[in-house]
Formats: sequence, C-alpha cells, structure tokens
Amino acid sequence: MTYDEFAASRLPALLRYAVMLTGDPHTAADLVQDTMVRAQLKWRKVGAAEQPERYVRRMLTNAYVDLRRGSWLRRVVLRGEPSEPPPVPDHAQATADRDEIWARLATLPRQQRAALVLRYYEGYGDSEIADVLGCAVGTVRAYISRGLATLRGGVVRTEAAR
Amino acid sequence: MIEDLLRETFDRHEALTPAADEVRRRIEVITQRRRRRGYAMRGAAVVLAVIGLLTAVAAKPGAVPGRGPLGSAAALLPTRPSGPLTVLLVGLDKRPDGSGSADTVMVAHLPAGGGPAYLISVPRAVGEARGFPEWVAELGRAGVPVDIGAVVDFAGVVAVTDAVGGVDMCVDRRVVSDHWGVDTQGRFRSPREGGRPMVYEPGCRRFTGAEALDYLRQRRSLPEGDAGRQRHVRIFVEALLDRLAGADPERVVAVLVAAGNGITVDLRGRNLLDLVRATRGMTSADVVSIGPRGVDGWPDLDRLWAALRAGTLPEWVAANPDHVD
Repeated sequence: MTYDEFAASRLPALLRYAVMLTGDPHTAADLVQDTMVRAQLKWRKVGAAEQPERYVRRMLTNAYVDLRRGSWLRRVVLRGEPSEPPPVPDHAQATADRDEIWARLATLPRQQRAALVLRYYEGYGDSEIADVLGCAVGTVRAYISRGLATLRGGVVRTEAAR
Repeated sequence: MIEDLLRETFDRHEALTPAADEVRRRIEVITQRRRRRGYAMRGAAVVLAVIGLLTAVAAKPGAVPGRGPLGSAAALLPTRPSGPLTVLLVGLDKRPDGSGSADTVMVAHLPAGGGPAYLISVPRAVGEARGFPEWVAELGRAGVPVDIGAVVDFAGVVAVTDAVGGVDMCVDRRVVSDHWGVDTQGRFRSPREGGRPMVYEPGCRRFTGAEALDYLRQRRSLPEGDAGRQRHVRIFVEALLDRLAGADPERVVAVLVAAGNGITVDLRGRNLLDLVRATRGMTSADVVSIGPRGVDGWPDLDRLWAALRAGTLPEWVAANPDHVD
C-alpha cells in the first residue's frame, strides 16, 4: 500500500479515533497531522508492516499519551501559519458539555482513556489493545476497570443529586 | 450499563471530527517542508547554553542576578546570531573516590540561520575513562568544534530539577528502579540489598529532582536498555527546557545558582551576548531529538557529523527517521 492509498482510506477513521482520545477537534487534528507526517516520512518502514494501520494507530496513541499540556498551542504559534481562532463552542459542543461521561473521560489518565476508547469505540479485544498500548493484557484490564469505575462514580453521584 | 452509556457518548461525539481533506492538505505541506532544507522557527536554543551563559554571569564578582544589563540587553536583541552554535553536554558519573568519567554525552547544535535545535546522544567510550577535555578533542577531530561545554553531575541534576519546581515527563513503560528502594521503615535501601524498589508507572507527571535522577539512571530495567536511557536523558533536557521556557534571565540565574557546584561550564571564549541571543524563547517543540534505537543501534556518526558540518541535518533527519524521536 502506498502512503497516499493509506491516507485516503484511513485518515477519517484516525481522526475520529483522535477525537475520542483528546476530546477536542483541534488537538485531534494536530495529533493526527503530526503522526501522519512522521508516518509518511518513514513510510518505507510503516508501509512494509503487516498491518500499517495498527502501526500508525500505535504511533498516534503513544503521541497522545506523551502529549505535553500546551504543546499544541506552541506548535500552532511557532509554525508561523495564520493563527486559528480559538475553538468556539458551537451547539454540538454545548450539548457535549452537558454530557457527564464525556466530561469525566477528560479526568482519566491517558492510558485509561485510550484503553476505553479502543474497547468501547473501536471494539478492540484486550490483546489488540495491549498491542496498541505496548503493555500486558492484565494492565489493559486494570486500565478498563479503573476507568469504568471512575465513570461510574460520576454517574452515581449525579443520580444521587437528583 | 455504563458500557452502553460510554458507547453512546462516543457515537454522539463523532460530530466533533474535523474534516479529513483540510488535515490531509496540512500534512502534505508539513511533510514537504520537512523534506526541504531548514524551516524558519523563532528563537531556537538549548537550555544548557543558557546555563552556560548565566552560570558564568552569576560567578563573576559583582554580578547581580536581578534586574540589570542582562535583562534589558536580552529584550533588545534579535533572536539568533548568524553562525552555528554547538554545545557539549557531559553527564558525570562521580565515583566515591572522587574520580568520574563521562557517563552520558550529548551534543546540542543550533544551525546557522535559524531552524530547530538538535539534541544528539553520543555513545560513551566503552572501557575508557574519558572526561570533558577528551570529548572536546574527540569532537574536534570529527570536525565538530565545541563552542560551549557543560558538565553536570548527579547533584547538579537534582538541584536544577528542584530549582525549577520539578519537571514533567511521561513514562511509557513501567520501570522498576535498580538503584532506589526503601526498607520496611521507609529508609533508603538499594533494591540490590533487598529494598523495595521505586517503581515508575506509565503516565505523565511531575518528577522531583531525586526521582528524575533515579529515573535517568535506569538502564538494565528498560526494554531498549541503554538506547532507552539515552532517550530518557534527552526527554529530561527537553522537559527542563519547557520549565524554563519564557523565564526571564533573572529566574534562570537563580536556578543555576541553586545548582551550585553540580554544574561546571566552559564558555570557551564565547561572547556573552551571542549566547543570550541564542537562548531566546525556546521550548521542547523546537528541539529535534536524535539517538540510538534498541535494534538498529547508534546512527552512523560519520554521516551525522558530516551533515552537521554541511548544514544538512534536516535531510539527515528525513533519511534516518528511526533515530529521531
């Protein structure tokens, strides 16, 4: 597969995945952009892998886990491109803001969130998740159970408040 | 129940997904730019160049770390001198008998005319105690003239880290310390003597000086061994840079004074203002990090130094993505 074929077919899916990981479209776009630039520059290696998509998803997830707070803003500023206006909450975003679970996801450690996204959005099995995250299957199960416990805790509290 | 709610939440938020064609266009622009020679970014510099400059200033009799000529001069200067700048960074492993050899060696290079800074791990000489002067000579023979040098020992690492209030680093794989452990009373006992080892769990957090030092010393417990350790050291330098990003000279001086004897700098006759200019406004986003990979080993250093001398590091980076973080 050439890089262009890969990008044409897989970019939308990777963008959706990145939105679920990061919670906002601008950080997601930046994350996918950086990852795909690196993948394109080393396509000789990536394209030769058994599953290029898995390889790139691993790169993307590692980049997400390593993402430094504020680094997105610095990269936008330093590129010297016309600066994008700050993300304006539109109606869809406002609806999202009211969503308890989405808000709680943002409080999870990144590995936990990634594990939840891979299981409940991408439908991956535990060993596939372990492959993407580069950890043991037992660790994946721990991330998922702790992540769900945190989300569950939020929902219960909301219900109790009613 | 919560699983279903979670699935619904994810599905509902697909609406936030940005358009693919715009992202695709930006990817092409950036890839082409990186494949071409150099690209303009403001104020690239290396934190230890700053350390070099400001330790020298602080050490001068009568130098006042505070509002002074340093602060106002820095504000007036343009962002980069025209020539290249190479900094040799040596981490020293001091033995109890006072001897020590270079334990970690890095070269930080700012190319002429702007662009990102390069932070390059260099292999230690195995079986040979080589100190700072030997390294300067070695690099000179390779055609890489050293402009400034800094030697940092363990105490210096701890002091600088604590002076900036800790550094943020991300651990990607669980690491069990070979060196730091505690006994049942919580007192220090080496894991090799039965102490319960310090463990670094995956995740991003702030490291204190002692934690950073211990983390940087780990080698055998890492899957990539020494290559992994070299990468951790580069990550540490970048993390330190981020903590100092945007700091005014007075603050950086205070940090360096705190490091005391742990950092020794050799200015090698450089002009002070050149160094101030070189250190404006840099963050880890401006650093290209180069080093060994577990399987591939070290990059071909002859080719790397040749690229550095010729000013073709961007092309080297594009041709050697496995050695670039």
